[in-house]
Amino acid sequence: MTQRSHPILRVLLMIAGPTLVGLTSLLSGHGSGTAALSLPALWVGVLFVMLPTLYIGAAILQVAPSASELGRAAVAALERSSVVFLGLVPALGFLVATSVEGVTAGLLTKGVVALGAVLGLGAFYRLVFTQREHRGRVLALFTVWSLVCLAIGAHLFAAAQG
Amino acid sequence: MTTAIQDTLLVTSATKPPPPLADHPLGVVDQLLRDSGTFLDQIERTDDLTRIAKTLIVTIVLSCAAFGAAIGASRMGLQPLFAAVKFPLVVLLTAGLTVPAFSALTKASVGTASLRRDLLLVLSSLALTSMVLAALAPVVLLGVMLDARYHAVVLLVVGCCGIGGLAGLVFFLRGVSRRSEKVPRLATLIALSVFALVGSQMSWTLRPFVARPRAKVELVRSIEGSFLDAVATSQRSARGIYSRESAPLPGEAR
Repeated sequence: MTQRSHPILRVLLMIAGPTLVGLTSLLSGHGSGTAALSLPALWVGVLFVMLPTLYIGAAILQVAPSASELGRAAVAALERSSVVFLGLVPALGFLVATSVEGVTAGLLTKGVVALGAVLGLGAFYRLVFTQREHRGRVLALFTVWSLVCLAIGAHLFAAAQG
Repeated sequence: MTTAIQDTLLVTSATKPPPPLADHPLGVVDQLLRDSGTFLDQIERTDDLTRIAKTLIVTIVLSCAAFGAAIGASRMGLQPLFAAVKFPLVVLLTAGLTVPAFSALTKASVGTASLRRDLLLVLSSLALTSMVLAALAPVVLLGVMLDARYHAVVLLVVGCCGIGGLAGLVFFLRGVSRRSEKVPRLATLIALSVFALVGSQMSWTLRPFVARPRAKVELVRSIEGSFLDAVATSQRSARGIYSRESAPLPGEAR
């Protein structure tokens, strides 16, 4: 998806991957539709809620990109992680559908979500901060920020699943 | 003058395009076996993807059927036929489910990906694996003919699959490393992990291939847990922790 793609298509791409991953978890016979559909909302929501924190921290440390650059990179990172999810959905669907134990299916889904999160954060870092000076400060800030994002996202995801 | 000629020859040989892929399917298979480097270069350039893919799929089906029949021969009756049908399915269905993951990871990493070329690379790797397995089928048959016990046959099959898998893995990694857009190692590792997981579960779902002596010969057993669940159970059994007194005979409830 290029930068010139229609905004609606880009939004659809951003949420398609996490939506399908959430729905795939229903194949195990456990879980609810509400919990499944909460994943795309969490996915996009946590990142955008945490973006101002990153911007403020980076600005204080003198390593901040422009706000628009940060926003564009966030969108691109969400698209990339969604693409990863879309690629993993067939394999995940098969593994979940053939798992009898709900625990195994849950672990597989959480594993895929965690993988998407880590890859998405990695892509976000490469898009925005790779060319910045003061690599040490950038890496420290981004690591802490990422861990907080992951912790909030994991807590909310677990709460949504019940 | 001599130096100029030598330089010209060097430049010419360096820029000389690799020989084209053979027209005949057997020629394609032969090229895959004999000159995998050229084969890898050509599948990145060729536009005849459909023809090559069909040849590779037929190669996988025939080779895996031969190996499946060999491992099924440990129990006579319909088991060789069942295994010959199921083994190619395991390989092809696993490829079908995991190639999208590889393409998606490549796309996310380098920005571009071609699902068709990725499928061709994976099919080529699996075709090579399958042909190595077909070559090792007589070894399995020899074990069966020498009345090897069930667990010995299983270990023999695992060993053969390990050799075939290694050949395919090396080919796949060579193919990935030759790409103009370098795929990150992490993406390749994740894709291989997905393949291993899906392949394990697919094998588990379509079991049995080497039927236990006390088990009924059947096409597919009902889904009882997953591969990961079975690994956990085997771990407990290996420590002497069993969940039942003995394995059930055919017809007995599990």
